[in-house]
Amino acid sequence: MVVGLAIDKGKKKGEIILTNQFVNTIEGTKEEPGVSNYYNIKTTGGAMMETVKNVSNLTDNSPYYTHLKVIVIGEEVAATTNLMEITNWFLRHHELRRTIQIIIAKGKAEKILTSKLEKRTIPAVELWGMTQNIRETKKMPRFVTLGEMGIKMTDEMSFLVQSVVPLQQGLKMAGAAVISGKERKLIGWLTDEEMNWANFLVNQRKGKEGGVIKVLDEKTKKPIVYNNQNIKRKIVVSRKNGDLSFLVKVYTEGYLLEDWSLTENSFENNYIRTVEKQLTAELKKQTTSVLNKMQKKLKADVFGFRTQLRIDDYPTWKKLKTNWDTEFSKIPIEVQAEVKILEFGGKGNKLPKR
Amino acid sequence: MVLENHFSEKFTTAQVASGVASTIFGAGIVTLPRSAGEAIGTPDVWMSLLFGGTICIALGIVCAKLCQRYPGLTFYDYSSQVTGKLIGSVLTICFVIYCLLVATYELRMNAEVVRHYLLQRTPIEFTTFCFMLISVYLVLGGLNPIVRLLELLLPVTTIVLFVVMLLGYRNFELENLRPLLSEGISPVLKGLHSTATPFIGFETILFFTAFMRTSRDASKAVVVGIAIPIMIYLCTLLIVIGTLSVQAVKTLTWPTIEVIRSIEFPGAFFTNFEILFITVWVIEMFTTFVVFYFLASLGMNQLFRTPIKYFHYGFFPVVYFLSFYPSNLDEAFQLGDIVGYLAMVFAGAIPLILLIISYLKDGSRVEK
Repeated sequence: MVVGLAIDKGKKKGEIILTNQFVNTIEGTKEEPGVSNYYNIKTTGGAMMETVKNVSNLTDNSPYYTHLKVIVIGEEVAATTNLMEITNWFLRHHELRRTIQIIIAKGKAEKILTSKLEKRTIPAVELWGMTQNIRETKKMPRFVTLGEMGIKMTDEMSFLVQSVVPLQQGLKMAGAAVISGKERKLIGWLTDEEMNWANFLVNQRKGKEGGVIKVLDEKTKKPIVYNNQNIKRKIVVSRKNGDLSFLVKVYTEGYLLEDWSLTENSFENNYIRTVEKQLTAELKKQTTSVLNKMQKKLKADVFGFRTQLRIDDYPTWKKLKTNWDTEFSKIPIEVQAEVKILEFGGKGNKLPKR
Repeated sequence: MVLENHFSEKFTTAQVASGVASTIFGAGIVTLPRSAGEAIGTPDVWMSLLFGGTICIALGIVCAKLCQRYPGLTFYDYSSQVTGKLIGSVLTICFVIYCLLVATYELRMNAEVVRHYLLQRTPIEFTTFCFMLISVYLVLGGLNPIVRLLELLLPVTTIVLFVVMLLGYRNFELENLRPLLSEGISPVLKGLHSTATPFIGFETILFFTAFMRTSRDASKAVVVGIAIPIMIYLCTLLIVIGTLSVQAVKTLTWPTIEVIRSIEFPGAFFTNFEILFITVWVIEMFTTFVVFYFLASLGMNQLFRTPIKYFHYGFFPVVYFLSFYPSNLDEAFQLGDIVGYLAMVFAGAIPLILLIISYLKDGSRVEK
């Protein structure tokens, strides 16, 4: 039973190294110290299926992929190979489900599956659990499944994939890998800090909650932390004298759950309003800078502007769609942000009113 | 009368309606999204389906009206009454061949899906053989057990299909269905043939009417019988296109099953919904196959006045080996296209022509 796959580039040209993470069904049940509950088998080959079949030369347990949870793609492969070619076999084979999670590793993918975890769980299973945490943190994008990836690559749509780095002990979900829709290759990274803001620009169908906005109070320079509960994002397409431009309206509502300043008084509406203003300014500043990076540096529309254009102005979309990502980088985009604090938890101020 | 050997009691309207509906459900549900997506190319596939369904309802009513003019007679009998003995016999033989081809196609599609998703290592020769054994066993029982079984299975299968498709709402995205009519109405109309062919099977009303208790209600039965598949197909199309987008649908061999395979509930605890779907779907393939197989034998029986059993047994090897004639999946899909074109002739053109001739010949003779 294989639960995780890691794809890396081999030394020779066009060679793939595949690491299969098997569940150790024989020894895994015994709770002996020192017995690992998984083992990895590494094979090489020129194409995916060939590489997979080579596993049977190395073990009596031929791989069975129905319970496969994650596919980790190494940075080098993702940046140099067309991902549509790499994932083709996965989408064709009946054993693999379309709901497998795709993750891009910084560095070698193999290192992710061989990393030591303090919990002694199977790395692939641990990783799969981490991919689901979008409700808790906004410092990573929503997971991308194999099926969704296939759809996006067919549509030539750029998208974000979760990325993972190995630590001394354990793993870390670190920001996002940006995949270009046209080339179907890795073209850049977003750090986890940037991802925190990029998530406000993506259409969040699931996982609208979670994520924080931290600002320093203007007067006291103490941190104020806002916990987001709901994101609503709307793109407005406008055409003035034939010039296309977008307006992104980001609205978020949530709780003010941490405030270090001693002089705060959340029971007062005015105070909440000023905090809201600060949060809004920060949100606008940061989202604009992420948007700028995506437009000017990476030139990839991962936020779904293309979908909105297709719906609102189909003739223009038809003209621009062949080179959408480069066209996208030229279109002016304005961000309109709004933060609404719904409540502030069980404590409203530090010192009682005098 | 020879016909009466085949049934012991006449059918109710509900039985005929469910008979028509079960016959219509077949290979269409798994291939419709792709064939329609390819033919139309915009997300407005579902509109085309509604048009296609409406056309089929109209044709179904034509078939019912034609049959009502000759109470107690099937297509095989009255075609020679309308056009004369020679042309009638030719029509009968052509219709028998058409029925055999539909049966063959359903048999092969069933085998292909079972091979891909369930029994990868079992030769399709064997799965086909088992499928046929059960079917012929039912067919040998005559028309009454067939229709009673169809009536029994239809509610179960419809409910399961609905529930499974609705579970797909989790991956559904409305933006994949927008904008409406982006390329105008013309692709929707151009793709009509692709959305009308999944309704193959309503022409069975040409025969069912003869066995009905109140043949007046034949039109009602065929309308209900087509309306149920329209709803299921509509639901399927909306979910499949909404989940995959029309571009990706074109690239998948079995888009409907792939969508159902993607249904997962939190923590991946409830998965493998395709097992539920394929089980029900195989039942639907079975009902379609059985009806067409029976109609083929009935045609030969009416033509040669030889016991129908001989043809039930005789067609077994014919259909069995014919289903392996397409040497690969592509050729099997091509067979589907051929069947679709033949259906236009046998379910659309011929009943319409016969009805017109019949009117010209006998005037508006009172329907008994």
